[in-house]
Amino acid sequence: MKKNIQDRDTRSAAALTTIEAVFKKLQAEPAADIPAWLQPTREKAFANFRETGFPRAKDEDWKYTNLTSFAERSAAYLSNQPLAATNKTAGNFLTDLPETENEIRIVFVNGLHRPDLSTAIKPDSGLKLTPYSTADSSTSEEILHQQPADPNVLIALNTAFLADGLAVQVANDKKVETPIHVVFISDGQPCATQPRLSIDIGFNAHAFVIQHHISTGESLTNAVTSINCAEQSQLLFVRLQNESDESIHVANQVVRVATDSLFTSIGIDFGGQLARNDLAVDLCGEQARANLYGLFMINGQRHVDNHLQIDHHAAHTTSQENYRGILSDTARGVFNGKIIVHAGADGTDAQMSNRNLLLSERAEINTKPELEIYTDDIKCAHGATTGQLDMHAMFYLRARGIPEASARMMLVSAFAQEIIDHLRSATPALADYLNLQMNKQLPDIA
Amino acid sequence: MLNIDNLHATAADTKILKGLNLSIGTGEVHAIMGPNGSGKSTLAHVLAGRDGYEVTDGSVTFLDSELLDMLPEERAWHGIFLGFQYPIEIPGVNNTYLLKAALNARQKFHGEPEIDAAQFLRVIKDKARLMQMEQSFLNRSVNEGFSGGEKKRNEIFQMAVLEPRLAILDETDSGLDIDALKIVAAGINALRSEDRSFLIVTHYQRLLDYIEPDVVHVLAGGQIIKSGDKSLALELEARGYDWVLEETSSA
Ligand SMILES: Nc1ncnc2c1ncn2[C@@H]1O[C@H](COP(=O)(O)OP(=O)(O)OP(=O)(O)O)[C@@H](O)[C@H]1O
Ligand SMILES: [Mg+2]
Repeated sequence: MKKNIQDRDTRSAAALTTIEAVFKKLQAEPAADIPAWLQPTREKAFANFRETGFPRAKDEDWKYTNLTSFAERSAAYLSNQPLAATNKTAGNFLTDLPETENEIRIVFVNGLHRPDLSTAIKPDSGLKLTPYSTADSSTSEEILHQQPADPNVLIALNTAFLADGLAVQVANDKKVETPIHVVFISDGQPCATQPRLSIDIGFNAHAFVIQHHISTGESLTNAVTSINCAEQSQLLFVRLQNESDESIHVANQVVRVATDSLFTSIGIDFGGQLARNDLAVDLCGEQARANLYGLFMINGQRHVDNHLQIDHHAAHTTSQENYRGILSDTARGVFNGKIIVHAGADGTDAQMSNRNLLLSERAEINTKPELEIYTDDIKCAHGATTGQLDMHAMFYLRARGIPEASARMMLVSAFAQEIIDHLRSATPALADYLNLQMNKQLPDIA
Repeated sequence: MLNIDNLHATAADTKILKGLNLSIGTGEVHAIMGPNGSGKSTLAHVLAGRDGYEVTDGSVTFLDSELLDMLPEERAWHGIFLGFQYPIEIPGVNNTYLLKAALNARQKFHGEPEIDAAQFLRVIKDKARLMQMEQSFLNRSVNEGFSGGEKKRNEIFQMAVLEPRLAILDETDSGLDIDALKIVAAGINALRSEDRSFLIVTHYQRLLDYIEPDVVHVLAGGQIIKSGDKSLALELEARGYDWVLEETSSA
């Protein structure tokens, strides 16, 4: 065991050394695709990454998720980074996408914006969509300004190798009804994709953004999203991870929610060999609210880890978390929900629920709520359940004439609906799409 | 239609059915009454194929097939319907979707094409009207948030849509108010036909005022200890079970 841990740390350190050499080389001969204004930020981020290093095996936050494979695949792929996305077949990934009415679709392949696959970006009063590769100097300032203040090692790595991204800026009072669907595709080339999305919702503005990841083969994604919801704004943010079963996917979302604003997030993981999501929400102003929903479904030896942290900084802030996991075979899931109620955040209401469905005896879930509370006047509740399919429901369905296998699938799907229903009210097309994706996998899972 | 011969069944090593004999002819309505814990629901569950019961002796034939060899869903495809004493809630499974899937599975089993979607919608709307169920119930999750009486009505509604050959109704009348009882009874009566049989488990004569049974049985101690015509139900209502139990023990 001990040897194993040392081995992990040694391998991660070796990967870091390789990555450093790659970075130095890029520094000497910068690739043409990388906007020059990003360069100083990249360098600073690299120094940060270098100093922090990959998580050690003993790191509590990484107790159940081993990033060695991520470190090694990063090292291998970064050294032959094909920045130019030449693959013309990338469009094939788009044929399956949901038909959400009038969506604005922005597509990135292997980390780079592809105007040919995207909706033409029209100048719109109030909604500004800027691929980093086309940012003018004032927008680039704004983008840099919105960097996560205290980046962890994965955010630092993303920034160090950042080539392109999308800035979504919604002006004050603007209500954007159209979903903004940002699709990140990894097309199967050995590419260490570093997707980046920065979302800025102005005062009293509304928006709906979908961050969608698709890939094939042994892809590698390290995504970062920074979100800022100004006062009285509302954002519905959907993160849809449907990468290949061999992919490694890590993602960070860093969210700031101001007074009287509502941030709703729905995170779905149907793909990934190894997926890790870190969602950190700061409720900064009074009456700020966060509703966080999540769903994953995994089989085989796959692994999904959801780490959530909500910081209640201000009085009368509300958070609600509802995460569900479906696991079969020897799959492993992790749910870690941390709620910190800071001094002065009186009248905080924090509810957390995590429910898991284990479809095999060897599947495993580690679920852990963590509460740190520095004030008295709060309402806090958390609950976690882990169970199997309800045998009474199984018999009821079969007694009506539903074959056993179908009955199992029906109940698994039913378990997921509570999360998918949150999407249905916003966009039925996307909910239907998710059910379609789920139904494709159900025979292997249930 | 149904022939139960010397049926013995246990649950968790407890003997519950102890040599039960019962024959139901095509088109007949049989009522089963009996004290609490006598094995009525057990009989219903064993006939529908629920896990957890072990049949230790005896046999059951249904329309010339060995019923006990079949999976629960196969029994449904052959025409068995169980109306549950305690219908459960299944959040996330839509009522209409369930019925459509159930009908199509049966069609497939019999080598028939899928049912026509428009025709199906007409049928469920008609049957919902028959059961005086609001259309909105059709699109809700199975029994989720339904009141006790609504759940029972939903059972009969499902039966009306599935049109079984043998309906086993386990205390469908319990917990119904007087109006709901009439609706449920009307629903059952509407389905009575020459080629459909019923096995109705009940504690109360009042349901049998609306649905006239051909035969009334008393189940006690895991056996049918007395059978008679509908007047037996009236007598049980008036006198309770003690006299029947005494009659059999002295016999
Ligand atoms: N799964 C089980 N495990 C153990 N005992 C059981 C099981 N199911 C039923 N029993 C027992 O068998 C007996 C018969 O139960 P059953 O539910 O068939 O009675 P019933 O005639 O339907 O009663 P009621 O009128 O109260 O509905 C009871 O004593 C009950 O506790
Ligand atoms: Mg009973």
